[in-house]
Amino acid sequence: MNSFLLQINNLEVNFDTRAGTVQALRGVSLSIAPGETLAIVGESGSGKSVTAQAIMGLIDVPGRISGGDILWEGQPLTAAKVGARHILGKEVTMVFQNPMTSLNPLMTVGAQISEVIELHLGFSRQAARKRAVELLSLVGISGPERRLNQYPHELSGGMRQRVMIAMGIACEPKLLIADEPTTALDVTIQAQILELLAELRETIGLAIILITHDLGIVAGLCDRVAVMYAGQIVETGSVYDIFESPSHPYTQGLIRSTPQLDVKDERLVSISGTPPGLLDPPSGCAFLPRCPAGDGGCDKPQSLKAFGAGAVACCKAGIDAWKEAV
Amino acid sequence: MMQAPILSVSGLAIDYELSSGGLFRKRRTLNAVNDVSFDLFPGETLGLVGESGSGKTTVGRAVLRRLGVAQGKIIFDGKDITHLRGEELRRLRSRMQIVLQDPYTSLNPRMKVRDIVAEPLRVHGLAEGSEMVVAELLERVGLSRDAADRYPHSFSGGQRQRIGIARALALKPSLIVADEPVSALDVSVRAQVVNLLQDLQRDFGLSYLFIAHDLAVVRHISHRVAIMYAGRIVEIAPSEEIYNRPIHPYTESLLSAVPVANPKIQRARQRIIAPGESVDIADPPKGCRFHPRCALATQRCREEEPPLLHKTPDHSAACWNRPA
Amino acid sequence: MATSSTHVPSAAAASGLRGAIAELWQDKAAAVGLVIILLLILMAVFAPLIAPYDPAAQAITARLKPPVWMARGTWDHLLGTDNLGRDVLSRIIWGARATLTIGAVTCLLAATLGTLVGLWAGFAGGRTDTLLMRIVDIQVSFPGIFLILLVVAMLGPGIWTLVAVLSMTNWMVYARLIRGIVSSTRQTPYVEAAELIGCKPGRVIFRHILPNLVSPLLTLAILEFTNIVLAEAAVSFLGFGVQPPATSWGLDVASGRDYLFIAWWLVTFPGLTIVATVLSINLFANWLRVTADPEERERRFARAEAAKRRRRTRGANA
Repeated sequence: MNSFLLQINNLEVNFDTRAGTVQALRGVSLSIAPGETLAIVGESGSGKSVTAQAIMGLIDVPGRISGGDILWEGQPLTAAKVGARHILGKEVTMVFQNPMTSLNPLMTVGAQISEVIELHLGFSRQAARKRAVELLSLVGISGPERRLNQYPHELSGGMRQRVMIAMGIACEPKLLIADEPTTALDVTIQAQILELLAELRETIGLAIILITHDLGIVAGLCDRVAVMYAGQIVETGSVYDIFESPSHPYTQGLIRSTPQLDVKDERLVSISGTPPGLLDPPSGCAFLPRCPAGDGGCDKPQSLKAFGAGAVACCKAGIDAWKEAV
Repeated sequence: MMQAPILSVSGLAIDYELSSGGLFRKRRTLNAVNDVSFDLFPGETLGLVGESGSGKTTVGRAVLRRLGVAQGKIIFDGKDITHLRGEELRRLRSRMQIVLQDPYTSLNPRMKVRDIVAEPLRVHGLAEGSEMVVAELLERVGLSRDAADRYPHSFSGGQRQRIGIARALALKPSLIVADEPVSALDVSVRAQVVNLLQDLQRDFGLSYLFIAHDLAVVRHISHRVAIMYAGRIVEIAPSEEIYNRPIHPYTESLLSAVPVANPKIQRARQRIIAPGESVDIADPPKGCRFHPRCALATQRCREEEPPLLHKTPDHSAACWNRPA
Repeated sequence: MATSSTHVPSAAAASGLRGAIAELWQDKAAAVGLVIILLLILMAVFAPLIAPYDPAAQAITARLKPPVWMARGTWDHLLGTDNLGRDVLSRIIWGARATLTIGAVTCLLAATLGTLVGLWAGFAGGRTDTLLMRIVDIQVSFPGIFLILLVVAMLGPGIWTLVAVLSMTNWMVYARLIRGIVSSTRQTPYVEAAELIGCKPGRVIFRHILPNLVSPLLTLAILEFTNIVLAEAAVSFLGFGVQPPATSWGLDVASGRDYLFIAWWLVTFPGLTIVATVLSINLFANWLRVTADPEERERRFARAEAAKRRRRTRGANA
């Protein structure tokens, strides 16, 4: 018996390409409790979006889940299983980065929201429409009755993302996965959307997995952080611990290399090199070639071990790797 | 900085073509940028910041003479280039270059790195000895010499951006328009490229017009910052000034909307909310363009457009309600 | 600074001709298609050596002989003879020459014309673009058969008239395709960068834009080839195309139709050859289209892998 909403154990996802098998996820384990906000932070190719797709059952050719399992309230969640359809899209929903490509341009906003409600909750047409109006005002869209009859192209980017969130919470899900929900938006609009997510968490007790590369967003919204690198989680911990005393050299470098608005450094710390290819990933620490603290002892496989209040996959966990680097 | 500016833009207005006009259709245009003026000095970085639709990219393209100028003047190195054409314009290209946003689409996938970096030399008749120049350029931007024989697809985003920078440097320009040069890059790589741009500026005395929406990066790299809103510059000042003592209400709301990567500070911050979204430049409001979202708006703001005025000797803003 | 190669999968795994052939072999239908196409081309090139008879040689004594496996068939005429005693097999072999030549030359002419117009329209933009594309629209809406009749009436029938006419009625697809690609390629950052470097328009077009056109153009031309083969057959069937004593498959079908009920082989064999040609080309062109699209190509590869894995597990269970 456990109290987790969602649990991922040792998840592996491979992509078959002509050049070979790309190991996009290499044993990812994470869990999220009801009402919790978890950030998955990482760079492109780190596997953060693939993790979300795997949860939602969206891994399609050329990708495949090749190991591990995903549990929803303790029960295995596989897209093929009967009942998974009932959970995915109803209890777990997803909001994507680009609202324009996820909305049907030929259907009015109202029709799209109502469709979700009718499909998953079995509401009548009228009841669904009434609920759609409620949802639109809940996500801060003014004049919701009028908006229902508009098409996506008549709305601004921020407005579309609000509509996407309205559809995401239409069935009162327990978990919302937001994959870079504000990357395509301007900062002032981004701030509005993040405030909306924070509000929804309070009002309807939503658990959120926020996938992002922007540490600022994480700092403002999330409870817990999982840092991904090269298809693995390298560090998890509470948001305060991660930002104040990051333990993995990669997390440290990531935070130190982000320019800050409130302090002006003369020069940014930069992590040299690039992430390894996942076609033939190193068996040892994937960060080793870029790590200033790395040495001969780092070429053995690293696994996530409890460290302080969190967990770190690094044999040098906790040392200040970037002390010398400028 | 008492020396003459390398670039001086005054009263710039740019109309955007909505429909190019067919046989029976009239050309329809939209005023994208109006009354934009600024100077850029040798060795200086001017950050041009704004949200989508603010006209910042349009200004950059106009400076490079990619877009027609409806009004105003662009003076580059003492010479009026506003209406330069043909061969003269082509020769000007060697003195001002661009670094583009997306490293994946800004390099021709069918050309070897050698040919990409040497192309500017070739088209300006400097092909002789280009082999050496290319090798030096690649080394200067932090790539190994043998990178020359490979195609762009075998490089990562950050490395490609370095190739793009090497191409821009090939003709030894004095001005580089950097259009969101790091916004498509990953965080850990972003710092590498920012540092490289700063090193190159120091070594070659380059001037940058640094266009970006990321205020933290702009603050880091810029000497002065201009904030644009709906096709106007609303505030321009040295970067410390802008970040510590913003004058324009839009600048304030923009700064407060940028999340700070520190949970304690971020959660304690009070955001200055500008309700609504950026104006539709096809149908701008009368008076100050920011007034529908501004908490300070008065009757005057709704009727008269505020000019960009010096509030202190080096800090200008366009707002009726904020004296110095 | 590290310059090691990155996560972008390189094509090195299956490069070169051998790799391409191996990849083609995965798709058996396309491979068979290519083999048939190659055989047809060889047949056309070496017609004088292969064909047992002169295709125009008449033999009154051996009229309307059925194919060899029929009751009255003989080994002298494998696919029988027609009403004038001409060997059907020889006529098909020689007919390949006319049909393939007309197809190839027409494709080349139409593609060249269409590409030039498309490049011009796409690169110039504005009013030039509008004007050129209106011309294309007008040409498309003009009934092809009417134009053919008009030109044949003026120039008289014949192979080269046919080529001219078919080129005139087929260049528009190329113009539209090219214009679309050019105007979208013009917006890509690397073309903008080339212009900002100071490349002259000629260099921008030939160095940066044209290479993007090669593979879509090739795919389209191959598909269009089938249309030309069919059009040639139709026009020759109507009597406006290839004129006797020259021969083509379409002409053979036309002249055989009067004997449909007493000598079915006169229509059937040239007809089947047309079907086989068109089908082979389509199968191969489809494979080529997928191969030219990197994303589709990866997906095809992954599907084949998944199928292999399924077979293996099934084999292990059995």
